[in-house]
Amino acid sequence: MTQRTSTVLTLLLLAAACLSLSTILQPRAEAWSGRRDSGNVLKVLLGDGRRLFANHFFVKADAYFHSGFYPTVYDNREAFQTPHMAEDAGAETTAADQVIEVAV
Amino acid sequence: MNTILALSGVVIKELYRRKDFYVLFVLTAVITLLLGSVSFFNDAKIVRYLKEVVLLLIWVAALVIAITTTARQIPAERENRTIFPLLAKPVSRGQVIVGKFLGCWLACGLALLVFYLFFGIVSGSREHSWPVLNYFQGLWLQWVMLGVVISLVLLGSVVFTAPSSNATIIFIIVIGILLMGRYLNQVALQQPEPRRTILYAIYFLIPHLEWYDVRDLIIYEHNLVPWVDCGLATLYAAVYVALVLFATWVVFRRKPLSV
Repeated sequence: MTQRTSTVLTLLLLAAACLSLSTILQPRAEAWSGRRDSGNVLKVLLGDGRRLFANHFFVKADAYFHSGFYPTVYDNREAFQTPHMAEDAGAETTAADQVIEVAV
Repeated sequence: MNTILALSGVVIKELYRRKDFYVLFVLTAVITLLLGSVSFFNDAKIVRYLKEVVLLLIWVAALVIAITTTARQIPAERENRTIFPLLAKPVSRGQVIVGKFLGCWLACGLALLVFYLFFGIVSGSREHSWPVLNYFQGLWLQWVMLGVVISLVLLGSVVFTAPSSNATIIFIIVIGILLMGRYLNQVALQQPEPRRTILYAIYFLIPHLEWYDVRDLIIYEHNLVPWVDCGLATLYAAVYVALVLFATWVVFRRKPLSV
């Protein structure tokens, strides 16, 4: 047997071992690594950690909805009476909206 | 074996002489402490959110350290021409590859240990529970996964000309597998024959790095991964590393060393 043949056979043997092991491991791995299986990249990356940034993104989205004009607690709010994003879309004011209003 | 250990010792020394690890560790520590100091509406689950973010940072930092450290090993030796005196000694090309692999893998293990120690202290001090075995399994499986990544980078470093292109390609492959590897079999099921069989074969042939992502084990303190499964996952990674390192040796043994 030439060295070339033995090299190719060794590579094939190792590849076959990998394939066999992955077929054995796949159903088992589903049980312990499939918990993040969601089809959503952000969920796979951040999981529940997304909630840390949710409020920030909601406030930023609301500011964008108001063309960047978003009064802080120090500004005069009388000239700025338009409702927030969810209300503009026809929804009633929820407790979450009130929390965000207090936050900004 | 002594030759391989000597070669790997040089790689470990290189890790703590360079700034990459320190920068990534300080970045992770600052973000962790910043997030840990914030209180969101007295939400008790906030520690869990914090753990998610910090573990993601640890995964990213470990991948960056593994890929960037390994990608420059062989090209740097060739560019500086230090590969010639190295191979003039009684060191074979196979030993160079195994030594470089072992050094990078051990260096990544040390970095991971520091990251997990810091993470364990921060989350333990806020949560007041210490699931040491969960941490051990999370760390071990991540380290084993990094072994496969390091071997792929070593193969890339003898195939591609520049370390930057090698690192970029491996980053894309690794992120692709981590995010989409688990769905390839589902895609295969929707294909007609013979495409289904081909896709299924590819699914079982690619290195399944996503199986080693057991962050939920630490975040939600789920039941431990069965030790038999843990051993099988380690064996799978070991065989994959052997395959890729063998392929690296096949390419490297006949490669001209002059740049």
